Amino acid sequence: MFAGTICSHPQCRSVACTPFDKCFHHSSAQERELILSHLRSCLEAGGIIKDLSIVGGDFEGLDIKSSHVRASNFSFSTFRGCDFTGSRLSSCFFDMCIFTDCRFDEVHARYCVFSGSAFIRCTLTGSTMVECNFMGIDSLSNDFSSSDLYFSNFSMARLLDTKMEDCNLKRVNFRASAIERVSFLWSNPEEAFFRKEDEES
Amino acid sequence: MRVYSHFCDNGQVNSYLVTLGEEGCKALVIDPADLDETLIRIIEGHRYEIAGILVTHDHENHVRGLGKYQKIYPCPVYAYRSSIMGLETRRLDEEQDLDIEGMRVGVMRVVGHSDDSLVYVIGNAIFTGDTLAAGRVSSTTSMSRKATLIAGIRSRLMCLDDNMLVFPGHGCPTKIRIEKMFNHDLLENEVVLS
Repeated sequence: MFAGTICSHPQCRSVACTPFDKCFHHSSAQERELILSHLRSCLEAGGIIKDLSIVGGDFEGLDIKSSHVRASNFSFSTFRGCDFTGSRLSSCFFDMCIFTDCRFDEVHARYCVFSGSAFIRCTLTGSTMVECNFMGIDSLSNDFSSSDLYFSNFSMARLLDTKMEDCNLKRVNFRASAIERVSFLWSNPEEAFFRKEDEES
Repeated sequence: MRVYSHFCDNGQVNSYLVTLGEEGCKALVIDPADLDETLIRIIEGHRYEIAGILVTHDHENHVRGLGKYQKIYPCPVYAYRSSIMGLETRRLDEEQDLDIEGMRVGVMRVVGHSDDSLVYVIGNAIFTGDTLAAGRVSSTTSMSRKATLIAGIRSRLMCLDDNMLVFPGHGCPTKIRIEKMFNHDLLENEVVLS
């Protein structure tokens, strides 16, 4: 698991980037380059990223295809046009992030946290995303179709123009979420929870 | 620190294996819901030595694998109750700090779901059992117990660092910050109180 060291910048409460003592925002340009080159070298050398923390990072066109990311923290980061296709994500924290035009197709994610993030025009099709935390996400024009979302949590999420077709929604929690123009065609929303009472039964 | 999350189908409970290193080091088990082939492969593959079992509460689905653990990896069991499934434990207080073979564990009692509910703090992670889950607080048998549980969560857990990772007994992981923002039960209670 990534270290939870707090950024040494006065009044900053973010988690510091591995292996430095400041978060990405407060790191020097040289430190930022070192952090990103470490990430790139991990991806090139077999694609295993573990115990890494990059809080507040800014990534464009990052190719994370078929990589294995585990026990890492990317909170408050921005991802534009990044490709996670075929990757394995376990115990990763992507909370409070912004994902624009990203691909998460055929991803195998377990125990991952995307809470409070915004997903805009992303595809998450044919993926297994079980026990993942999507609480409070803003989903605009995304496609989750053909995905297994077993036991994932979308409570207090805002889902607009989103496709959830042919998905496994067993024990998926949509409590207090705002759902508009969402297609559940060929999915099993009857096995999902939409109210507190469903959850407790 | 490394945290292995393990989903036990039988009872839909999360069990956790916590270690301080990669290979051959001591490990702690949080909630021995089951000990199956996957977990044994992890323990044996990394030559982990189980130094202790921490029980969050004594509900059967969280401790079902205890007997199996004691047969294969005999080690001390820590819990609020002095006996779990007929096995003697090292009884924990309401609030204390443990040092189990070099692993520092903070213990907090947060009642409501059950009278023996404990929360464990290890490094930057908390293991909440059935006290707090992502987006909700656990079920209780009455409204007054729910109020007690919410008060306990507010006074003991919500004052922890926002970046603290939360590993619950059921469902997905979360963080203290996320629970402050999106936990519907806590937010609902806040509205009622105001």
